[in-house]
Amino acid sequence: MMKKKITEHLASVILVTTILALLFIWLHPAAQTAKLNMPQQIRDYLNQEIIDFNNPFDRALFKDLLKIYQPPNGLSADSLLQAIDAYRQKQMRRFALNEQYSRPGYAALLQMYFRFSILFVLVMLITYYGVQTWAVWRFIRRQQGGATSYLKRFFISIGRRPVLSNAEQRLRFGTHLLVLLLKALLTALLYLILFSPAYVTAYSVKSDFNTSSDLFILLLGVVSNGLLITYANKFYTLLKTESRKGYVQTARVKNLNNDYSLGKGQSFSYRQILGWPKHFENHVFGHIYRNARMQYLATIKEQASYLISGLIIIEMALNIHGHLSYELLRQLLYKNYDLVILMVAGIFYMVKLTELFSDYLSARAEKKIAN
Amino acid sequence: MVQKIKRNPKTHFEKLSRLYSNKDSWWLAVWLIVLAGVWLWDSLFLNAPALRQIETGFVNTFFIAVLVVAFSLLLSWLWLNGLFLLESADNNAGYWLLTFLMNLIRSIPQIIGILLAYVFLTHLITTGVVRSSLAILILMALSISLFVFPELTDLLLERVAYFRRLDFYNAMQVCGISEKRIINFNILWKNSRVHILNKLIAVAGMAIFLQCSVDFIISVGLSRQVSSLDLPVSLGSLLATIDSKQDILALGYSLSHPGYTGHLFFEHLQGLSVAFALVFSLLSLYKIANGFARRRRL
Repeated sequence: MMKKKITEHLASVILVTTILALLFIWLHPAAQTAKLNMPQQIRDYLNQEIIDFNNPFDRALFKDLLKIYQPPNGLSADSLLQAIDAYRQKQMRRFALNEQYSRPGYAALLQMYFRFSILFVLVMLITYYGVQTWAVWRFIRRQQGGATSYLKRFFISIGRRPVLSNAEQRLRFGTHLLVLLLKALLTALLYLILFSPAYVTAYSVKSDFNTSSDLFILLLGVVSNGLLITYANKFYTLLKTESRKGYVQTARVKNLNNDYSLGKGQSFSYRQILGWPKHFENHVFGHIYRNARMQYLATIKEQASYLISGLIIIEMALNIHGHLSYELLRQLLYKNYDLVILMVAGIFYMVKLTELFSDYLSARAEKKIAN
Repeated sequence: MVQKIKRNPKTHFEKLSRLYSNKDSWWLAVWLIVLAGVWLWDSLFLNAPALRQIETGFVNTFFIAVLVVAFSLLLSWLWLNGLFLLESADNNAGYWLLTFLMNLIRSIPQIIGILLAYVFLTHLITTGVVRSSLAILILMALSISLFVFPELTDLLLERVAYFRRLDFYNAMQVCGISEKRIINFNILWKNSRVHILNKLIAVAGMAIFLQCSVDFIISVGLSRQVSSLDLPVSLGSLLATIDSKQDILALGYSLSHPGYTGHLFFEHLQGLSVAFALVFSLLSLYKIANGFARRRRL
């Protein structure tokens, strides 16, 4: 199974590399310059140092001379001048472009790529931890009978309003409702932040933070674009699905610890939930967690692809100079497609490597279970 | 004399509470009500040209999202049927090629793929091949669909693979029902409609996110007016205008200067309305999809 996957990955890497390499060679400036090489017919005239084609007098003289000594089977004087002007214009345009938008060297690109890779790995690790911690926390709270949304509790409290006989009771009840409503509002705010595209969050705090720093990109990569919440919810769903399976019922019947109390000296400690790696020995949840994590491993490649998209959006949208994605966008604009191809290839290899790693982890976990 | 019936306020809350427990309906209602509220507020306090821009941006964004959903559904259905056609014809090479192509598309980060597709689209616009706004919108949607549809295809393949393992599949074949009908009618239509609908809601959310991100990137990521090249207005490109950026900056300013918060609701409406409509729509679509999955026990 793993061999088949490796073959598939290798085949796509070879195919894409071949296509991109061909495109790179075709679009490389050297090839473009070759396309701009002087046509044979104008080469002899352009290399004449005594003619200044910017000088109207020289041009008129050149034209008259051609009329008298027109080369056999050659172009007419006007066509030749047009060809010379067109070639010179092309050269000027290229010169202007190169002057204005310097091409980064390969070493600089490699450095940017390295930086991007480190950011990607860090965000991936933090998200991996965050997703599991959040989902585990939510699952345990849910098992305790808590974690009902504040808005629901607000409605329930109003629906089951007790008889309030005096002002003090009314005040206490009113405060209780107000606190619930405030908590609901704060939760909604948190959700809005987590779902905000990175550029919205970044621009709203741009005046107070240095949004170009790597630390900020790291934080934004984790909390924005809905990444953390989407995958935390996926992991939570996996935990819930596992908890309904037969082996969990059997474990309960066999008196394996099934108590979800949280705190010092209880079934779960905060350290167990927040720490890494997570171990829940001698508890039914240990099995639920392990099996859910195994299924979650299969979604890592999807998460990685989503995360890379998020990072690219952040670097491009925030105009962060010296970063790979911004450079990619810049070179796309300046039509330096050879560099664009190099960067796209780099990102493609990163995705492939993550996919391979994810497949390896899944295969290893499956093998462990099979044994 | 007509006696007025005094209604018990508790029943209203109970009804609300019941609606709240149907998360998808609740979030759909909340989404529509809140957006209507924002529009009403904007029509009272935002200048008419800016309001028109927001309306156009919103309509364009959602029109593209709907098109993306339709194209993705069509592409995945065609892909799935193509795969099974090749499989039943014992065309291993074709089957492998189609699977390989799908994996290849999946390996390209969506944003890069869409960005490159937009580059091609801009080339078509500048060379005059594509002129009408509708054609541009359709091409934009198609570009996004190309990089979104693999997720839907995965779901379809998963559903078909699941049902093929059951006796039901063999039993239907024994009854003489064609494989094409079993897959398309019995599996996809009769037994996977809800799953597909749920995925399509998520696809709509993803389409809005990707489209706005690309529009924002090409408008603001470069300090040049490349976006003004006749791409239709969307929430993303509106967010990239200097006015909107200032409005969003004002939001950050009000966090450190709470006294300024009041100004946000009257003086910075353009950017904040666009940002809020975008973020709230993404959140609502996510909640609707989740609520729907929970209600239907998917």
